[in-house]
Amino acid sequence: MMRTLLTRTLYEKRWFLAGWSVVFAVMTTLVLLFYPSFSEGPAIDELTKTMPQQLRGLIGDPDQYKTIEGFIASQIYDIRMPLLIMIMGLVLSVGLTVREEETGELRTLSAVKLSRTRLLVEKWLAGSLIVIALNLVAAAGTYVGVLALGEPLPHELIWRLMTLSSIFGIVAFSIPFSVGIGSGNRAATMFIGLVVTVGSFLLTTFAKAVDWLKDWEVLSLVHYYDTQSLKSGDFSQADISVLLVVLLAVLTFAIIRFRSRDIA
Amino acid sequence: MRKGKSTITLANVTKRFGDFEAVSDVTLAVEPGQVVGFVGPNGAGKTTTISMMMGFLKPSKGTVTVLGTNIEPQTSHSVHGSIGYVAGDMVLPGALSGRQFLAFSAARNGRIDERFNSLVDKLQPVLHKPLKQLSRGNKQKIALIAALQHAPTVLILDEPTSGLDPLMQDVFLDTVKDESKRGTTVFMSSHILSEVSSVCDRIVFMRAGKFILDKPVRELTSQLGKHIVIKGHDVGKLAKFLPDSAKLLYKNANEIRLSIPSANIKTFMRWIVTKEFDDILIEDRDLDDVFHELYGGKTK
Repeated sequence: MMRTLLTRTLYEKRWFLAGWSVVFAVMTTLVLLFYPSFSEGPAIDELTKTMPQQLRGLIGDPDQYKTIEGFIASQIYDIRMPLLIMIMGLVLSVGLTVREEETGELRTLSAVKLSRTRLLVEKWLAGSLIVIALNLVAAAGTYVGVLALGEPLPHELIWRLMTLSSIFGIVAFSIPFSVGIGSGNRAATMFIGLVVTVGSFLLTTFAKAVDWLKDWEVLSLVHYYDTQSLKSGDFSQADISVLLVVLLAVLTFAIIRFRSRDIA
Repeated sequence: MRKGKSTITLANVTKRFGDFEAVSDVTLAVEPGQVVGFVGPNGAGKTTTISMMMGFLKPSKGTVTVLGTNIEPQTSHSVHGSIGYVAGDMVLPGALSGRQFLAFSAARNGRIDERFNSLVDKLQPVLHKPLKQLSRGNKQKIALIAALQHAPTVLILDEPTSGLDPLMQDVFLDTVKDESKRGTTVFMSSHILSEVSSVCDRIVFMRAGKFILDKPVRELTSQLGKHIVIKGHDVGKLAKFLPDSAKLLYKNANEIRLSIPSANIKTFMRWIVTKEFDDILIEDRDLDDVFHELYGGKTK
């Protein structure tokens, strides 16, 4: 169990994983319990007729709430999952990097026969596995919610959404992780993590309603997390490619910086 | 890449943090099997020097070599399997038990079971509780076992006994002595001079980022000489007429304190008995006196 830093880190983060698992499971199941109110009530039809185009841009097409597939894609995976996963990723990355450096644990770890690159990669792998595990929990929560409602299970959609959310979550976690391990600076890690999280949501949300923001929306990480197109088609190769390029770039920066920098 | 026979070498090493030069152009060679005490007040640059030996910090200038490997942050891990490292302020992962932490260290650095068992028998560590629940002394026992269980060639200790009670200090130093008997090269920073003189065979003094004295402990102690306190009415005026071999440390009207090499003590005694005084106290000087002299404090 303790032979590698990967397994050791997973063991150390077991309570973190347990706590966030509860958050993700409760969130997905709870949100699904509101589905009947949206699908059966006449209010959504009224809303669809009267809603201004700009507001529709902000909250999405109300028609999508009327099918279980649309409800899962929009209410769980389009808004809440990326926001939760980005917040969790920021907390996790700070814990794995700058917090350990501030306490001195990173020095203790660096005193054993373990290269800096391997240290970084094993920590990153542990964080990425936690992201995947939480997405599996969210998928399980979605299954439980759909079963509780007696609706047909949209297996393929759930697994596609979970896969996309996992890729997005790993990238979202890797950005502050790379800054944290590459710089050892808490303020820089928090600042960049928050800018990416809050900035992405503000850009993507308001770009739908504000014309001049549309050109800038490509800078939002959430722009490359398109759950709506997954309902009808396959993964967007362009979006996945951008996410992978971002991932590669931040990890390369982290490895180059961490291999040669001082550990406080 | 073997560069020489010395176990640790520092060649013109400088470390700057912004405008502040923590270590200034220091050079040192530690031979295999030597037990070196590394002494200096807080802020002298001891921990920075040791951090460069471990590869935590990269020298701004110069080279650090341990066991023939040029130590840089990206290369230091290759010799960590031959080094045992303990620091007084070492932080162990609180979520792991002692047994789990030692298992991880063993997986990385190796473990000799017989040695591990004998260390556990000797130090009696608490192995089953999470490390965050252990006292400082118990954590240091775990850190020491982690550092020694793979029979390292070099032991690098950074003020390892700071914060430990005297009993635990003794256990710790006994273990280090056992290591030195085994032939392990030891480099130990401390500002507890009694432990340095009891364990080490060479001592390096550091002040304001520079090495200011580097001598074998035996040679240093043989040169320490005597510490003499002379009391009496108006003895302060004798200070002007002290023999050249005497070094005045303190004076007032009725008391003077001085140090004198052991070789000159007979001459001094012949001189002093011709003077008037009420009382004289002669005692051996120790490393604390050297420390105070070098760092500008009062002698005892």
